[in-house]
Amino acid sequence: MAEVMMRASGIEVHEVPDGYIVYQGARDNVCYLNKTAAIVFEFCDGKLEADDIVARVAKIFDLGGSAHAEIRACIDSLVKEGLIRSNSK
Amino acid sequence: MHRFAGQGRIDPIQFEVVARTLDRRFRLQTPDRGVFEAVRFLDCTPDVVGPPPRDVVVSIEPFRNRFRIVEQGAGIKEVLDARAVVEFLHMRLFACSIDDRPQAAIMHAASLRRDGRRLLLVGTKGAGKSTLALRLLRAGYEIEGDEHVFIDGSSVVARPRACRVKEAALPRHADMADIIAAAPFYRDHFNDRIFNVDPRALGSSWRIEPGEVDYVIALRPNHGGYSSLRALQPSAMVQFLMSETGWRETGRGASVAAVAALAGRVKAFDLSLGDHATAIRCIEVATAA
Repeated sequence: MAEVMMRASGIEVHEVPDGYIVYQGARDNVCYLNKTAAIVFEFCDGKLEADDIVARVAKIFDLGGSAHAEIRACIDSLVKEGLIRSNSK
Repeated sequence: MHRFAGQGRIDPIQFEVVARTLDRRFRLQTPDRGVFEAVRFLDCTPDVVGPPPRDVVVSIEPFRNRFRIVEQGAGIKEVLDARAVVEFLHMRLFACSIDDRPQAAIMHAASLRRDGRRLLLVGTKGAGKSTLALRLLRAGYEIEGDEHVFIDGSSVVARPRACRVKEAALPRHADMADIIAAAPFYRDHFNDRIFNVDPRALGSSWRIEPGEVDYVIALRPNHGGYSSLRALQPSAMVQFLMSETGWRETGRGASVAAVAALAGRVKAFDLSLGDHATAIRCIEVATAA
């Protein structure tokens, strides 16, 4: 089943020169995303599946297949932090 | 009639000490000489840029072997002695101070200005903000406040409070020790004196106004060691600032945004604070660029 990734609701995103500061009002929690995580986060727009995001990020940074697991881990950590969620099709 | 700087005898009955918050001027009045001498520790009369303050009259009246504190004609507290008066009013002034800016986050920071630029020294209690601020005063900086600033949207403003100098820090301020030691003081629980020093007594002006910040220096204590400075990336600075910021019950998202925006605008540095001479040289180089 394909996972389309999208942002969680109730979060506020603030850009700083080297990443994002994300505030979750419901949890009263602040997360810091570096540039790479910020790019992954941006791709989670409700239109792309997780595998697509992994492939696109790898292409942006000219990374080989060995990096896919790390990119996938980044997505998983964003899900774990409650910043994104999957909308399975 | 003899007059003390910043406060004095206003009629045959009452002594008065004035303590400012951003929006209010507390006139602390008492007929009791001992209470007056104790309450001088709360003296705080900076030039605050903004609308004229609202006067709040607080009377400290002897009452049945204790003291009754009356604010604007209404009794608010009874306490046993002069020390308790100071402790209660110290908390009261702080509470009123933060009430003046109900939406603003409160950051542990000293605020200084020189040549139209504002520098924040951010660090936890005991990191050395006040000591370094006084050293920077000697280097030509003006102190706005040495403890807290309010972050309100894009504006930062110091919470009015005179410089608090611990007795143990006097050797580090040998050139100012006599002036500091002549200031009003409070004895802490270890019976050590904490002095309340008006920056003007040290040759500086004392003017507080809201505005932008140009430099933020995150202090990490390295007492007894050398000082060193490095540039700090915005996200790392945000994390540090967040750890030194108190948040209000409402509007936290906006406060987070304000702190994030601040970190994105300023030149940010991490200072491992050891010897002050090197620390000041580091700051001078960093802020000259």
